[in-house]
Amino acid sequence: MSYESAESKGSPVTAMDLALYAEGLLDAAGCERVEGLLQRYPQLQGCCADWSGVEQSELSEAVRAQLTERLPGLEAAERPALQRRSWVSLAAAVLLATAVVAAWRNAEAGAFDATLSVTERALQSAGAQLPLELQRSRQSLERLQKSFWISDQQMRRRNRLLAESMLAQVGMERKHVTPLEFVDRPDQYPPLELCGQAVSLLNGVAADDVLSRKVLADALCTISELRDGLAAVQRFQRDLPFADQYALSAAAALDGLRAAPDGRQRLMLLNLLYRAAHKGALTGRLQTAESGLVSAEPILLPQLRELMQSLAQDSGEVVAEGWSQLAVPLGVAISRLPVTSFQDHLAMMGICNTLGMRLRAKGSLARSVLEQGIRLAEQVSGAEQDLTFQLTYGRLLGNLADDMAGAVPISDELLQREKAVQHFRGVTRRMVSQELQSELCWVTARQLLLLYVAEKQGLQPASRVDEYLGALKQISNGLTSFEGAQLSLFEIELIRAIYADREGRVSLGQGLVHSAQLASRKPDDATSDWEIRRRLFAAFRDSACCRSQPEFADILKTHGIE
Amino acid sequence: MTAADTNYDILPGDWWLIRQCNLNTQSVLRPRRRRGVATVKSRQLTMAELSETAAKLCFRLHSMYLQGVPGLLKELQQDSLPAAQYMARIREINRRLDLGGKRIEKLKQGRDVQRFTVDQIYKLAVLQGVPEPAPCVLEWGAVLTWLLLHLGSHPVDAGGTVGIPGGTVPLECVVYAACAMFLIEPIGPKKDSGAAQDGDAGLASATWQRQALEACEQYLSRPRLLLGQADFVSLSAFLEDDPAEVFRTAQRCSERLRPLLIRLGVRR
Repeated sequence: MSYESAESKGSPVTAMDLALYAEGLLDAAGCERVEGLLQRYPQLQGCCADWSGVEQSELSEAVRAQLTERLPGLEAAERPALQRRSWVSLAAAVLLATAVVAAWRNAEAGAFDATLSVTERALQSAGAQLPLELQRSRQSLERLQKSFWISDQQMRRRNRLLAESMLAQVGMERKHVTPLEFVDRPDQYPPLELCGQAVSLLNGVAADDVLSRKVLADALCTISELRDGLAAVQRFQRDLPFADQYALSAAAALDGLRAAPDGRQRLMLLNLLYRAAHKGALTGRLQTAESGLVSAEPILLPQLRELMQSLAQDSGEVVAEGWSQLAVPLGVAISRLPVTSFQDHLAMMGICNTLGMRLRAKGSLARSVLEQGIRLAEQVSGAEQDLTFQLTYGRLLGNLADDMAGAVPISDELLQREKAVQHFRGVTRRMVSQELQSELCWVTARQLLLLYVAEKQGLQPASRVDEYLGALKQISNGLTSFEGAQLSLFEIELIRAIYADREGRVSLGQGLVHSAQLASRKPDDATSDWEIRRRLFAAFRDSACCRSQPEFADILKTHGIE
Repeated sequence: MTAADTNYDILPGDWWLIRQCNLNTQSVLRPRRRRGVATVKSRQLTMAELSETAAKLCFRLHSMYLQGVPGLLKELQQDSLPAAQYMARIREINRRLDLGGKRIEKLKQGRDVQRFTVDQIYKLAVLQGVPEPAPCVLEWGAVLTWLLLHLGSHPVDAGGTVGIPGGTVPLECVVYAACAMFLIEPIGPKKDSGAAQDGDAGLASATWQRQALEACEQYLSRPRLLLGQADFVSLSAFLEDDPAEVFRTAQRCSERLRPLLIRLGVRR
């Protein structure tokens, strides 16, 4: 007995139809009605796309239709079992009629191609945004197995598409699984595992298979990014040894550059590589098949030199031996590369930021590199919701302010850092990110200390210090949480001293142990850092909180402050 | 209502509560995930899945209603083209919800539609000035009954998928649900203990029937998400002129359900 609702056939599309369609439960006739409506009114597709799985039935129906068209009576779900049975049939068929076999071959290869085409279209259109469609694509591809009739070329295409669908899924997984959850077992981080599977599908692709090599480079670029993220979490959140993750990030980036030397990911890979090397990749370890865990330097350094050689404009230029000599020329060579796409802009901004920090002690050179990055950021429009862009832009602004410290009047430094503070404040209102919070904490804390110095020099009113102190208290959970803000411990001690003085309670301070340790390591020659620190301690000369600490007199004396 | 009018044999909705029961149908393709790899496995559908699907469908219907989708569909299909207005309304909703770009992006990816269901529906309701936004029990029971009845008449196809014809939910499922929900004995102290203690079965049955009719009346005053226009008119007429027809309809549905539930292995 049939049990159908009264208004199901030849009737208008109802909300229930859309709901069933979204759940992948609507029957074929209903799907036809819904799809007909969506085709007539594409505006509706936008609202339907909000519903998970809207397109899943479309895809599965399309795949099934293609398969059943080629192989009458054969359902996609039954194919693997049937294929096995078919081998027996094949033996008989070969004996009986070669023509039947030829037809079958055409059908199987045709069905294989049909599935590939449907999946490729799905991935190219909206696959990356729709998880269920993506899942369906992957399932369809995973069901396609090598058989006698399937050519190597078809399998290569299948592997490439499967790897692409895995990478699209990585994009989604990254939004839901944070590196922090896997900080103690980074190799089990699910997006990393998926990328590993994608790489293993594409390893060994021929040099002329350009499409596959691009996907391989994408996968390696993503691995490098993921390792970089894990290293950052290990470093700031848990204070764990992080150099191994940077070593792995650098190794993946180098592999990516080899896979597609002139690919669109080139600058992104160079950015990741340079950043990883700057953060200490060469002091980490890498896993090798022959010797297990080994020091990364002997593996990475020759490759970095080779890269430098390829980037050097003058082929006769001598490439430095060690990383400390190689770092700046390599960064400068990379920063001269042309920039075209948004991704290039983003990557170059990152490179300028890393190189700028590398050049910190070199004055105007660092500033010009950081300004180059800021100019690139200002050329970009429509990146309001891009977290990496906003983080990198803010870091460039903040690092430029840090770089100006001591070299320009206080008012100029304050003005520059104010830009960074306003940038991060604006972005944190729009986006939720722990990294953004940490960066806002960093620039706010540095600005607070400088405002305090300016107040003591009569350049800024006390209310500005109070304003920033209030803001910092909010960001840092009442001045207790500075994780990821990259502040020195002595800076935190001084911030607490400001707070204690403002509250009139010396007990709210945090002591000056780290400040004293720092002061005891006076460099032989006066460096810029030393002068900045001296200026800072001088401002605290009259601080009741600092004066209550036994170490303070020594700190002042060491810095030559009366 | 006289005692003669109260003598109906309607299956209580207790079977809605059964979870761990594989339905005796052909295996259905179900997605699964093992070691980070998504695959498809063919296995039997459970009552739990059917119940969850019914709840999801009700949620989707309500969300669509709150976003104005049913009205849009109606007008589009009458060629009065309010699509531009509708899209402007959606943009307005998104702006007012203050989801932030990333949140909207997540919603668009579908996965987070599931994740944010609860707060999303309440926020939409607030924006639309609707004080009681949640799908009601009657709806869930009616959809679950409809799904099961459909499963009984249209078994799983050879490809392992379930294809439901759509349209609207039949009236008999709605009225059956209205009765069946009040025939489930609630836990805790009985609200209407006086009638039961007196042993007056007639009064007790009059209680659930009164409650069922009230539920139907209340349901008609809500946005009628499940019922088509014709069924809405029929139900209004029953309530007005012949309330007993509500129970007779529910009983017919119940009669169809009894053997089906045994065949599917839900009841013995």
